[in-house]
Amino acid sequence: MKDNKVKRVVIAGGGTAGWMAAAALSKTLGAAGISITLVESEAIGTVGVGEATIPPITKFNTQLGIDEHEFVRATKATYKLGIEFNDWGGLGQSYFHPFGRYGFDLDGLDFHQFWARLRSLGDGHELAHYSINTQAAYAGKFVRPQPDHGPVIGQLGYAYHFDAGLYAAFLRQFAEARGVARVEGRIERVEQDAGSGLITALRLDGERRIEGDLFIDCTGFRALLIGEAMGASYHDWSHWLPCNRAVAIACEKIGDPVPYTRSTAREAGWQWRIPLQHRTGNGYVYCDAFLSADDAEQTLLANLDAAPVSAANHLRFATGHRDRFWAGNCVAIGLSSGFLEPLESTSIHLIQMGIAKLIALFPAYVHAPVEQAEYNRLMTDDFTHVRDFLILHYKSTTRGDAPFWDYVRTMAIPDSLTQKIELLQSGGRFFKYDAELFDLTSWLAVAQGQGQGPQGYSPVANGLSESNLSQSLANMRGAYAKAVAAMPTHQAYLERYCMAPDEAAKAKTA
Amino acid sequence: MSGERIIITGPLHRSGIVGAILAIRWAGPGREVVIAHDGIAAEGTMLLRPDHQRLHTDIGLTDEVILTQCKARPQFAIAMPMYGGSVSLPFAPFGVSRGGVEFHQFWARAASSDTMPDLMEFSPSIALNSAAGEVSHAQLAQLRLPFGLALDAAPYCQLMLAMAAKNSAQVVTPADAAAMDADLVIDCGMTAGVAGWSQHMLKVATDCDLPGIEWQICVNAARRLTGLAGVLGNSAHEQREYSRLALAEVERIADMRALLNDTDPSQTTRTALRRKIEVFAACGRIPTEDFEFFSPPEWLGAVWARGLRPRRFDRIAQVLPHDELRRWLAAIHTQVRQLSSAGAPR
Repeated sequence: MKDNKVKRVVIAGGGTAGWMAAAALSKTLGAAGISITLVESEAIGTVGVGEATIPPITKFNTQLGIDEHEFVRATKATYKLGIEFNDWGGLGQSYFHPFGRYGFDLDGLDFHQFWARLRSLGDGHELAHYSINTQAAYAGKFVRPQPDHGPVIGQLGYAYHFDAGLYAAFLRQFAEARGVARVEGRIERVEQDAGSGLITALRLDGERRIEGDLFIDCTGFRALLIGEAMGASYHDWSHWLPCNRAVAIACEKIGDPVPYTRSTAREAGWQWRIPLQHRTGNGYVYCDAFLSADDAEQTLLANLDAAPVSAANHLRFATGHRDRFWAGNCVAIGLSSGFLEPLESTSIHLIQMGIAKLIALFPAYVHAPVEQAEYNRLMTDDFTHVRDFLILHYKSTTRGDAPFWDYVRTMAIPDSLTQKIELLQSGGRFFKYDAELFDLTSWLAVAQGQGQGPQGYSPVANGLSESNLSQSLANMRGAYAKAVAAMPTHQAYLERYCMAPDEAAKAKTA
Repeated sequence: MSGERIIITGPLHRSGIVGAILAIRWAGPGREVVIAHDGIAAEGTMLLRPDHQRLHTDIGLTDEVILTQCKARPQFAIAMPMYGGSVSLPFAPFGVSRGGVEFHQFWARAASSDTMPDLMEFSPSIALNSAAGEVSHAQLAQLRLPFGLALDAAPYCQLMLAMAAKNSAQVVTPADAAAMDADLVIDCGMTAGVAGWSQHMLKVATDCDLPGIEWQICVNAARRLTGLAGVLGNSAHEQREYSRLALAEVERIADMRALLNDTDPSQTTRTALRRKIEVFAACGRIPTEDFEFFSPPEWLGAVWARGLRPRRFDRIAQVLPHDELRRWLAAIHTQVRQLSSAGAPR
């Protein structure tokens, strides 16, 4: 069968990964004569990965041709301008990781070099004063940048917080309208060719068989296809990212949703807060070597904004990834392929990257060793780059108030990260690798926010006179403040363009 | 000596380019650039890759000055020696990509069922390079295609040296330089060995036997240094990063050299090149590395010229109905052919 043409794609598992894959493949490959079948069981719950996203998600939706406001309404989403990190560098400290960049470059030199020079002269303004995202987030403002908004608002980068269950349902509608066949059923067995080991069919309850040429494993942590059937082993990164459990609880919404995620460092991990139109998502990601599940749940309950509206959902995970994301005729996408804690909201992004690469390398024949090797190389790079950025958050803490923080502060880290930190601290230099997701702004935000930022600046920044430098940066701060003042509030923007109908009705009644 | 000093040695044309960039982008109060070239100037024609536009804007050189003083002519593709002949590598993409799918995938689909003109005939860069007429400055702006320059080396080198001097760089003889202290010596010599930065010595050059790369190597080296250099005396991390990038550059150039000149490039032992060839042969895509010296159209031109062909085309290229595909390709082919007659008579 390995010489067969790929004509039938079978996606095992619904949820965010399954329906994102189904929607994208049906949009791009449907007209090329490839049939797509998705198998899922309503009896199996989904993890509901994500809820918070990063800016590339807007590209995914755009490529599908999805109207943004319709999507926001349907998923009860809010806009996200970045992440606030509390107690990470040290207890009582706070910083913001914005999605838009800092300042404007001058004379071809990165803005932060001039900022660092001004700081060395005694100026106290933080990087946050030069970030439209940070200023807008804390003012509760939002507007979708348009070409005629000018360069200041043009720097605004954004993503969404959304209900992952509603997103999957939204994409299901999209995919089914483009010919994806959905089969309800529980996968009981994966059938494989005795000689090649390739997957030939999924055996469902009731003796139904779903045959295919290429199988996409979206079965979550169970990894029924890639792990159990194909035997792809797991590359464990727990020694660098030791959190291995999470407890999630949704609570009532209090007040207007803020346009940012909040991450608060706790005794043995960190707590997320994700505001949606109708509720607030919360969770505590922790390491069970330092905290029990009961204590984690109690800590989370004690730190909710309002009354819980869901039962506690306890999850176990191991940070890392499959040694092969694509093995034989099976491609793992989503949690079955690997897991990195959602500290920087990268779960859905990694799904998106898996889908984009699969489309780019989509095989003509079942036997596709070159495409497979390239896919595995690229996905390994993606996971590695995100991993290093996540470790930075833990490694650059000064906290010593709990054994967990003592461990992460003193642990050995990958050489690739050591080199990046040293270069950044030395003179604020940063070189982005080809496929690297997080850019200079992100690395600066976290390193500087946790007190491990650049120790010097480029001598080229001395090219401006002190008075010119001071005036230029004051002008920038003024421009950001003025732009934010002119923006509508996040709530007003939602109400005007994209409030979910039932939430709009509730607001009217209230 | 107070402050910091960089001394640049080597041939005039190389040290002049590096010196001009450093004088403008690095020198300042307490930071001195000294050019101690050996007087050996490049003769004949020098090739500048499309990056010239960015560089000249950065250092304040106008197109008008370059065009008039150096008799610059636009180059839309670069002629490279190749096993058994030569090849023109285009700077601009072939045809027009559609829906995120590269043009050659559509071409390959059409060629799988119909007789098609060669892919090279869909390159606007190659068509313009062999155009009957000279492309004017106004036409260049209108075309919006990346282009390099072929110019007279001697006046260009003098221009760069003058730019350096105008921005406070000292120009001295090698003998005078030998008596000066330096925090960093940049060796632009022809036989500088392995490129990299170690302690007080930075070696720019590698073997520059491919046309048009010498200028770019000098520009990249100077840019890399200005992007990294803080306090020169305390720069271990910067040195390591500089050398990592410089080594990547050397490797990518060596990959192109091997692709063009090896008897059978598909048997190469160079890992990144092998990956490029294998993935291209499998599905028509050319994967990129962390650092690339040559642009994707140049790689495509090179693998094509070596006779490598993808076994299949991108499935997404099948989305376009067959008749529409044929009409579209024919329209692009006509447009590209028309470019061949662009410009005023030479």
